[in-house]
Amino acid sequence: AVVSTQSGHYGRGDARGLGEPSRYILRYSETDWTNIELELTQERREQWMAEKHSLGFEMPNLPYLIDGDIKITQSLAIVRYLGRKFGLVPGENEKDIIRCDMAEQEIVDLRTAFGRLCYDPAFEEKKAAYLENLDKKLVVFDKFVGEGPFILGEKMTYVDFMVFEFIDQITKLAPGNIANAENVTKFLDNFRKLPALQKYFESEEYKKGKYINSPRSKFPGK
Amino acid sequence: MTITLCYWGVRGLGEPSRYILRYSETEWIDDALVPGKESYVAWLAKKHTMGLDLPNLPYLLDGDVKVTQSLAIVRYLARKLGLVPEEAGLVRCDMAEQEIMDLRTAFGRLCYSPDFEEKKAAYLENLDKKLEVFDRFLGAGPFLMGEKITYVDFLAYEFIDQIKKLAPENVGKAKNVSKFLETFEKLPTLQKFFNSEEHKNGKYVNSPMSAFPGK
Repeated sequence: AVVSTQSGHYGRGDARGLGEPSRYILRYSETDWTNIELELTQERREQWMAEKHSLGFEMPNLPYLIDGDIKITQSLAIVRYLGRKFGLVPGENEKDIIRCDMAEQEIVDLRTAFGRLCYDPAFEEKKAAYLENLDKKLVVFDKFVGEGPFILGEKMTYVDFMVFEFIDQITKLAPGNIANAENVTKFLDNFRKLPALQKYFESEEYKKGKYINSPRSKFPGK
Repeated sequence: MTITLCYWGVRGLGEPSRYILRYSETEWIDDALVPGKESYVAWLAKKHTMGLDLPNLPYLLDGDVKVTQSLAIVRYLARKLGLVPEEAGLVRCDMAEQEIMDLRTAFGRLCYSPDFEEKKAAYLENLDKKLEVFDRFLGAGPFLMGEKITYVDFLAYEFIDQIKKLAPENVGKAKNVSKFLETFEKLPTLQKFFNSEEHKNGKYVNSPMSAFPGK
């Protein structure tokens, strides 16, 4: 069984955070997996801090993934591992690999800027500048996404899960800005229609909604 | 055709790729932009005309291959120059890469923070904890993947060397890490660079305008 843990760190709050793309890959793969979600409380955080060094991880962190005797931390290492495990990788073509790596890093940049705003005490003051910059980034990214349906065209890879989830998070904050990006919007619509994800999209869990960031952040996004 | 790497004339996120190119003894052009408004304005004027899918700095040109995003560039050079791990080592390599990026990101945030002085103590306390774990992870080496040098060693060397400028004692406490830095500095194909005027003159780690330029 595959076990996945998400952080519920008080003050860090990775509710969907950086771990949700991996959860989507696991849902999509229709493998048996265990989703361990830590409560977003101070108490649970202290428990994590006490136990983190005794779980057999070389560099303890959240999220973590356990698959048999494989133990992985760092959200990107986890997502790439699951990509390889489930065939959601670019393959041997150098152009595809480059495109995949660039997309991965670009979406990480978009997520990082979003995260920084959401946790900034000066959230209100900084929002306008953030949105202006987002618009510029989205114009370029929209062109890059192109026709799709996936980042690598016909071939689905792990970066599609990152793009879907992180843009979906940003949509909570800036729906109008995302809607201006036509290819990106179409990409999200396509992704929501994936057959293997319908079970999840129709579930109570999904309909209830989940925090994007910590409840204590400036933009929890639930 | 000669590889061109274009980035600001600081170490920043571009130096690991520069080290890989030096190490490989490939011919390459170090297109280093002078930090400042003039270069910035010139860059803005040309960035969307160069055929880059996602215009940014650094960028790398290699024939008709055009790459942006520092990590995508590093991994491209790694594949080209044989600095990638075996399949069985990918998990360790990815974890090392990301841990090093986390260390660099935290360092960068401090260096560009208007509250640099106020935040420094907390940063150093956290750095000590992180280095203790990373030191154990690195182990005897000589490299992160053991016997074989891979691209993550270039990331680890450069970014820890940057952090060392700010926090030499903290890095000094990490024994395996310190040994790793020394080993790296003895790599034969890097001696030409380490003995060069360029290296001896030193280079800004961050923007001269940051709270910690690190030159």
